[in-house]
Amino acid sequence: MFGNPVEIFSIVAAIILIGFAGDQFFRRTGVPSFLFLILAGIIIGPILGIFSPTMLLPALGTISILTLTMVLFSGGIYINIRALLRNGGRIFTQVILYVILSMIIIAFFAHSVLGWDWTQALIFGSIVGGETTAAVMVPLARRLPLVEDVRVFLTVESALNSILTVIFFITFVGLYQSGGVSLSNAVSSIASNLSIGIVIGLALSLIWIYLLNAIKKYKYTYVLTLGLLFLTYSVSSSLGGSGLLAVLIFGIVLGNHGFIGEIIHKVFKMSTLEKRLAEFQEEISFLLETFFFVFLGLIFSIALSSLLFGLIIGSAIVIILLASRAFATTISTFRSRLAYNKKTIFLLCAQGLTPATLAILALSYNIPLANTFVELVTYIIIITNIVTTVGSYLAFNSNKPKMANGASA
Amino acid sequence: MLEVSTQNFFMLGVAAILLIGFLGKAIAKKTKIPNVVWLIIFGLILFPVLNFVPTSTLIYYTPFASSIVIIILLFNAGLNFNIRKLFREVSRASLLAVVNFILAAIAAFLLMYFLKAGTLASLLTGLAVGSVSAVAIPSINRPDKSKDKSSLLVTIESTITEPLGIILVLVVISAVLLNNYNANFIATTLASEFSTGIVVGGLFALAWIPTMSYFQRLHYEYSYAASLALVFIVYVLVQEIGGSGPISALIFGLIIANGEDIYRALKYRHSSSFTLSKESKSFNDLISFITMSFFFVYLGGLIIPNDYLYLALGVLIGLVVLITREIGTHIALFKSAFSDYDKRIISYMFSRGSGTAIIAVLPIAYGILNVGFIDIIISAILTTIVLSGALLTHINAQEMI
Repeated sequence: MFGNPVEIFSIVAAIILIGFAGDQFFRRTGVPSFLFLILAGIIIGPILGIFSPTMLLPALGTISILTLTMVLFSGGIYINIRALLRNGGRIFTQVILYVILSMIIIAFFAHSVLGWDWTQALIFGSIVGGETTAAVMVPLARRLPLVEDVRVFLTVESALNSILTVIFFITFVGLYQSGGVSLSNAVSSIASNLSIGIVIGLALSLIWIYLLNAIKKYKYTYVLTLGLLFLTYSVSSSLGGSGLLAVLIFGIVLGNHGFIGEIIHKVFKMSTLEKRLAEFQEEISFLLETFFFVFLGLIFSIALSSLLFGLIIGSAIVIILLASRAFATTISTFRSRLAYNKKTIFLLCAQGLTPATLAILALSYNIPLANTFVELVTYIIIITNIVTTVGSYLAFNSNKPKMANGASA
Repeated sequence: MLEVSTQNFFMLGVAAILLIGFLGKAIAKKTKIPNVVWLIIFGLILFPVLNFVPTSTLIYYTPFASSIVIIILLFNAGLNFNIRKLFREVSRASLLAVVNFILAAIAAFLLMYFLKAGTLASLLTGLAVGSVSAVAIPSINRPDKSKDKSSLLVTIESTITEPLGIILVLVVISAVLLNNYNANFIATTLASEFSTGIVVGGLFALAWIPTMSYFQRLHYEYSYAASLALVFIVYVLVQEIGGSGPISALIFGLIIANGEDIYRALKYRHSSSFTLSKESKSFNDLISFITMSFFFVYLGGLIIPNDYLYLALGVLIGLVVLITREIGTHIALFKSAFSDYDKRIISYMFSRGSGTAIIAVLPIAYGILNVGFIDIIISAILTTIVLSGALLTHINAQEMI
């Protein structure tokens, strides 16, 4: 049960107010709002004991999926296929190297240092490995004096690495739930899951854009779009595919409807719908993000032993992340104009919504050690956001004079 | 090591197939009867009549032979699939394909079902005779402009229905082999097999196009041979990870053939010529010719000539297909720019060919039906070819008068 309405409404009201304040804080200081939201959660939860997170737990699984759906869909809308193709090779290299390398090293660390079972270690590795959050990266890339290629690089990287971590997470959770399977079965299961997601996502998206284009002048078309979004998720999932991937593809197809129209010789005019959808989407994402980060604060443990454990292990994992990111960035920017901004790309590593959501999803799947995952994820989010704040300060100061002089990398 | 006599036997077999293929073409040119007919007759004479190789040995090699032919046929179907042309002609050709396929399949199914052939045999027969073939079109007529338009429409129709028929039959066979008729189970299994085939085949092709282009720029020849080798590798890989190999072959061919358009649409900065060269296309035709010659001779070898009842049933199915074709074409081309004369030409172009022939072999390859099924289907193929040829000749003669 969710508790009484008064209690629920006061929590919701508090979360919305905190979220609004957090956004203003980010706009004024440039410090990611996550830090503010988590801190607010810690104050109203463990420190003052005003709210308890227990009443929110039953709804967490559904809200987590809903949040990921929204994040991937809006991420997809903002992905420009042509921009992706221009720097696609380097971005893919960065995403694959950073996600896979950090995931493997973190899993190895968790298995050998913390003594966790391999499956749990891999699940944890997939939660925190290689993500950079679009919620911070997209506005930060716009605010900082960076050249266009670096902006696109950071934005697309943040969209793609989230997807990859989600895919790995789903795969490892599937392996855990099925009791562990052979390598060939695992490969077959991953290939099937991803392929169904791609094919169903593409097929339905094409039907949907025809439909939306035909009825774009009707009222509430953007609400219908959300309905179609959930339908895409459901169809793909019920056929054994990745619903999240299907949703991402729907976002990409919708965001690139002009380009799709060029390929299939059909004119789609849906810019107004896309604009309204983006606004609506932003507000929903704002609410969901706020909810998640305040929730992380609410379940944060302030016991001294937990604080020490979280700080030490969290810092060690961030060091692994930074080392992997340094390696990935060096390789992916090698002999390109992006190499001038290598340090900036390396330091902008803030994690956010995806690890938070996946950790909470692990909790709702009853994965052993999920409580520890959530605790460590909170520390990792806090530390990576501090690194990013420092990085953005350095980037601002080092790039500003160059940009002012008209130099472009 | 093979014994000398076996080696000689093998050499003679290869020589015979090549010669028969050539002879079939030559006789077809003289008689205006498609070489498919001659190849099947050659097979019938060589194996069941002269007992050159026992039928049981031929049946033993059916899974292997059918897999190779499916790869070549679907890869070629993909290569001949012009996405642009398809989008231009898509509405009429797709409608024609779908309506005719459904009508022929339902009619043949009902006929077989009411003749107590059993649900599975009826269903597979329906799916087998649903697809029209372009194989008999060119050798029957030297089309003038109006017939060219009709031929194009039927060629596109065949490009759609032949893979469709094969794929649907593979679906039914999968369901039978899985021995689970739960709709949800079938849907998820099929979604998994098909999607994996589409995605893996597509990704390999997208990666292969620039590679092939690079080799072409360096003037390395035989890129087609490398593509053919790769399609076999993709087929095996996809089958190994639980996907549909035939679908991957189809998609691989389709994307390679349309590579230039796809990369141009993506405005990919490295785009250059990705097309298969003229020499490659000739080599492709040669490979298809040899494979299909071999296959139709092989198919003729699987006929049991004294199964008169099955052969008669095939003739009956051929007639049913003709009737449904007439109805289907008028429905699909209703209010179209095609004249009544065009519609008649299109409805007479209904011969069944390679797609149907492969389907005839598949249930035997998977051991779910007996060889009698091949007799029915081959008889239906021959009936449609003969009827189609006769009707087109008749309409030609009428026009000359």
